[in-house]
Amino acid sequence: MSSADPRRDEALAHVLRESRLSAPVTPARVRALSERIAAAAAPLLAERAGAGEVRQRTVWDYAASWSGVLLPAGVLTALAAGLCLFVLSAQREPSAPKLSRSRIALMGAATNRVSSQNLIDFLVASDPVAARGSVR
Amino acid sequence: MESAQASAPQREFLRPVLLSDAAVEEQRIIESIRDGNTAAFGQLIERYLPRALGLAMRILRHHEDAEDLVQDAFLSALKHIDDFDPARPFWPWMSRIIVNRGLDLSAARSIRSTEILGDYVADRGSSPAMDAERSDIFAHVRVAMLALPPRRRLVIELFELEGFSIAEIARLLDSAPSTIRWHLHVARHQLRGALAHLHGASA
Repeated sequence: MSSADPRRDEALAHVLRESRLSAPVTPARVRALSERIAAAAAPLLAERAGAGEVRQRTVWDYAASWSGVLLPAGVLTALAAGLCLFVLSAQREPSAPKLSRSRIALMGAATNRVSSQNLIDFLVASDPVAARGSVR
Repeated sequence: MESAQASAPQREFLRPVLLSDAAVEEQRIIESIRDGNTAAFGQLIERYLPRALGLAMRILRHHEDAEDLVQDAFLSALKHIDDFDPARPFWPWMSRIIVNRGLDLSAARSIRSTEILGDYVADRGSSPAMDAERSDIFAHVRVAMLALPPRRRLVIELFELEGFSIAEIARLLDSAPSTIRWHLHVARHQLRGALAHLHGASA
């Protein structure tokens, strides 16, 4: 009872109680009714028991039978995927672009750091193989 | 006195917190019933049938009707047991089924008379004149109570006799607490009026 509830009227409660507004329920009646309800509920419970077996076969047994295969397979797949990622990331090391010596020479000429008449000498000095190819 | 003893288990009605062991046990029973366990359903009946029958009698005031109502409520609870959350206490759910169906039945069979209950049993040592007067008072109270609408009658009985709080009755009858307070106020007014009229007539 909360504090906001009205106070109980003891006198009224006494009169109501003594007026025997509802007849007492005897144990014999309760027992008979209990048996009646149990009998009426038997088909519903049997139906549930049958449905329960089917449900167990289709859900739990299915999961249990496949868990022995699927769990190791899942773990192995995850390990393999991790290994692949590790190998691939190791192969792709970032590298600075390699500039050939002839390219450096040509860039030097283009930016006037090297005069054009000295270009061939520069190329020969810097990259003998490339210079030989250009003379031919 | 007999009726007071019979209604003692009903004081447990709608108690929001069950003992943890009892709650766990009840949860196990519900789970077993879901799997179709007959013995578990028997345990549920044994646990709640007296309270359920007491509540049904308060609403319908007729043994056979109350028994039919309780049977119907238990079977309905079994059919819809998958909708019930086993983490919550079972009795509030069950009692709501009984009250809703009981009030519908009560409204439908308003023409049918209620059972004639036993007359007042005389106390030892009281005079025949006193017995006759008391019997007259209680008969008038019964008539006044039966004149109340079923919902209002249930409110005053649950509050005055069973010791439920306004909030508990409001939850049970799916009404606002203010509505329950109003029903209680009007019912008390009508009953006190009937008793005062009786006193006036005898004076």
